[in-house]
Amino acid sequence: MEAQGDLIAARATPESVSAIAVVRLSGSGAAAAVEKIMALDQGRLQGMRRVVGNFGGADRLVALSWPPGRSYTGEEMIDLMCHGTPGTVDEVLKLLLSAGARAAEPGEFTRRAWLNGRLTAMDVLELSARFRSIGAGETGELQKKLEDLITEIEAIIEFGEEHETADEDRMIRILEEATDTADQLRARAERIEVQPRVFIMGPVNSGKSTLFNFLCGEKAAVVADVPGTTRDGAERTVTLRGKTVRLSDSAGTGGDELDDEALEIALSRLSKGDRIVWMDRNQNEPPSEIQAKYSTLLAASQRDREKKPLAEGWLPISSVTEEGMEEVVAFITGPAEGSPSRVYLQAGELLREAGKTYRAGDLAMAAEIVSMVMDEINAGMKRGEAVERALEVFCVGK
Amino acid sequence: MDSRKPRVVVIGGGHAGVEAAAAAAKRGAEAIIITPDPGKIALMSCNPSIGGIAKGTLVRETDGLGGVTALSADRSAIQFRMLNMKKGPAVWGPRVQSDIELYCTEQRHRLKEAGVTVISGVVAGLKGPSRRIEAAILQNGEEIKGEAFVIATGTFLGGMLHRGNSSWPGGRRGDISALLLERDLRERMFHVKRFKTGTSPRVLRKTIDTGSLDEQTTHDMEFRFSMLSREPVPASAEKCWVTRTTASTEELVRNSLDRSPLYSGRITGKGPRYCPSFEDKVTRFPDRTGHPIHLEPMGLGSRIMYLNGLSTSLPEQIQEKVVRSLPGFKDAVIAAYGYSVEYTCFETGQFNAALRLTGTENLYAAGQILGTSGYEEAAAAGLLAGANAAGAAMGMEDQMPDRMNSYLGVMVDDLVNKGAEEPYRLFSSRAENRLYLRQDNADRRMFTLGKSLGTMSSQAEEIHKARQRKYDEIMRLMERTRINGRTVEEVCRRPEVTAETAAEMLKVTDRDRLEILRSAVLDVKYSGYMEIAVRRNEARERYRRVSLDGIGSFAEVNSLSNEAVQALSSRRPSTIGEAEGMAGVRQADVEALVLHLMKRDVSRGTQ
Repeated sequence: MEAQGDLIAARATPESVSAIAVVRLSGSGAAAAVEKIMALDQGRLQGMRRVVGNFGGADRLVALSWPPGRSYTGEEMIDLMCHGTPGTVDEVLKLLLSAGARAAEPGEFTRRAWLNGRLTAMDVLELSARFRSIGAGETGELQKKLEDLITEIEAIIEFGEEHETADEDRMIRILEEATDTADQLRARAERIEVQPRVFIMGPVNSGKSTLFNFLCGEKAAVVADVPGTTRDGAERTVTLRGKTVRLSDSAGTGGDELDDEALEIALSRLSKGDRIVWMDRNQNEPPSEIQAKYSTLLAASQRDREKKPLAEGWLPISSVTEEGMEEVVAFITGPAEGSPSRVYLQAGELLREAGKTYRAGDLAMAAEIVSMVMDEINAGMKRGEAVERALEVFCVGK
Repeated sequence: MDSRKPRVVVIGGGHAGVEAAAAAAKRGAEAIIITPDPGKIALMSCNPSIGGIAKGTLVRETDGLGGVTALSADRSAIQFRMLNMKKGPAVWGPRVQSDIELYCTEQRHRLKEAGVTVISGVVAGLKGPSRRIEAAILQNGEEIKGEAFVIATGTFLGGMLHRGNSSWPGGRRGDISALLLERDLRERMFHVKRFKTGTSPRVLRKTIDTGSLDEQTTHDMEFRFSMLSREPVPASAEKCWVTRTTASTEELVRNSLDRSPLYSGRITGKGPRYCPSFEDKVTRFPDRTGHPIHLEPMGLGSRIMYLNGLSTSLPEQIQEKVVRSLPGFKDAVIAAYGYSVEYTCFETGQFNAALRLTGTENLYAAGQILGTSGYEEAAAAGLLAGANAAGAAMGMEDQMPDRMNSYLGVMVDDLVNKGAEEPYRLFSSRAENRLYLRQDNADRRMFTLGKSLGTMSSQAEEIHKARQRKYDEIMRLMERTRINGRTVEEVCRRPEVTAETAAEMLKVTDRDRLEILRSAVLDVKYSGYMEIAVRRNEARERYRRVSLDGIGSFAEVNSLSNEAVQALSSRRPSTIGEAEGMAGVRQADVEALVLHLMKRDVSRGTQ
């Protein structure tokens, strides 16, 4: 019999507007939780069932249920289909959380599937490769080019002097092809990838809403110089530098009087991969858990009036003079840590550097740079860390 | 209390044996070499040259440890070349053409200086239990007792020579083979395998029309292998030439393959791919024509030239035709024919990283018996084995090199953990930390190991320390001197800044300091990559140490191949690292083991 984990829930489709969105639940009590939110009779979703119904009295919901041992995860599992309209999924998730589920970690469904023997190790590795590269064949192409390249370079280093087998022109040609491939893969990945959410956080009255409005290009949040104006986080989907970004303003935390509750609320809204612009004109470090878990930009705000000396690691910004706005936008729209586009972006940059290093007469150092790229590209498939990373990698689809 | 020094007996007087005996003596043991022909101590059986890419760096490392090869190579060199000068300082390869007779003479001097005794004799077996060997037994029945032993038999152990249709026992052309010792080792249940190597014909110089050939271009750069070499480097005194095989050479060889022992099935031992016989070249690269053949004189004014690149064991008459088909060789006369040699060496897993044989307390091995090829590899291993043997004789612990710190460490780790499918040669690409393992910093890298091996003379140690002091001073100077608000150290990290620029900034002009400054600048430039390499290695080591003790039955591990289940069940490795090196266990199997362990840990964690 398969092990039943605690009840987890998560959105299974991308965070964008679509005809249908899917929310998946797995673990003991999945059926009971859905029966509760859809106001169904107890036991209605036991076993392999399909039920169409309402929730919250407003929207339609389709529930597909699987009994333990027959589902993807091997546990009691339910897929809920709802309209992919803004807010609907959030509402469904909110109800499920209140019915006893917790938000799933990235890769958690697959981890359970694997633990329950529903997927083999090789399935997991294969899936991971496909998720990482959004098409394993293409990373494969880059990998193969890099293998050819490093082979060529090593032949030049080891045998070029005496055996005349090496061909530096050919090596350069392969290097250029590999660079082009990395660039193409980056462009492709960028089009497909879901942008992470960006949270503007910081102590009360540090100018978060001003920045939010600046970035949204309109008065999306109520701005006032009275601390604590923004109690509930405002959220906007904006287009910056051609990229769609979900931007969240959050209630002020800390400041002169610590607002623990507001911080608690803000933290509960964060999920893996989110970015934080932490604003504080007094340049106090944010709680350590924030910087440890999320990609964080420290912004020393209101630099048009604030005269304090700038601490190390802080970006001076001002929505008035627009100082630092370039950097903020670059941070917000840059590829996410660990995302394929980021990996390919770095690969392309490193390969260009390798070319420069070679032309400067240090092929051995160029070889080192190429090895770094190979490490990056293969990262998900590396031995001991393979599966842990493989499971982590599923956050790409989340 | 016995005042007699503990004795280390070295079996074999080649490049490994010489370093082993010298190192044992330097560490304070009485060192004895047993060799069939003391007149051929340190003879270069193959090409007359020492060094090369990675190999030259290894020679420097051996020197840094207090070895003797580098000094003798400097003193017997007839041409110095720095290879790869346009490919980055990390892969520069110092290499010399040697006068082989002078090299032997120099090495004999080194042994004499170290107080090593050389005995003429053939070892027929070992006496005592394998756990603790008591003596080497000579063919005449004499016993040479000792507290520790080093086997450095090269191609002599079970050596079999082949040319054309004839095969005869021998360790080298004109020398006998150690067949009885080989039998003794097999009977002691050591796992052994057969490797093969070969050598080229030597040709009388006066019968070659060198005037019609291209001279080998050299890159003039002053260098010495040894820190101890104080005398100026002699200008390149000898020339080398290059010729090329022709279509008729290749056709001749192709049509004679049935008469080569390599292709007629006579030789079963595995030969090196990087140093192939000419028979292999024409077979494996049929489309290629005009293979370069390098003409290397066997010594200053020597009447004999070595044909590097034409290793062959074809019959004598065919070798003659082959040689005469080369441009410039119309009337060439062969002084000595090429041949192949098959010999016995240990399988992986038979020795540790101090080169002590498994299950023994005082028996070490070095050179080709470990599966290596090359004088430089042999010499470095010899030093390590000899010094550790002396340590064992005195009741001290084994000392092992680190793969992140030296080519010696890379080589030993590869041999111990990966094993060799063919005679093992060092390549720079085998080193993960290549940017650090340079010829310019070998002395600094080896100092700590040299101290613990106890093989450095006081003179060498003084030189080491003086150089280290200069290095430290220069590093401090780089950290303190500021140019436009930034330290020279920071400035040096920029790719376009060279050591010469740094020298100007720091006003360093004298030769010695300039040399050390160049090395320091490279350390600074590469430091980031070096850190990455070290971190990556640490991760690898952690992973290799993961215990397999928790796995009761390998048959229960999902997705393991049947072959792997069998191999793992019979040998029962205790860590992932050990499993990884085993025959029959592939990378996919290792991943399956890791997954199995993680799955267990995860399910435990959630309970």
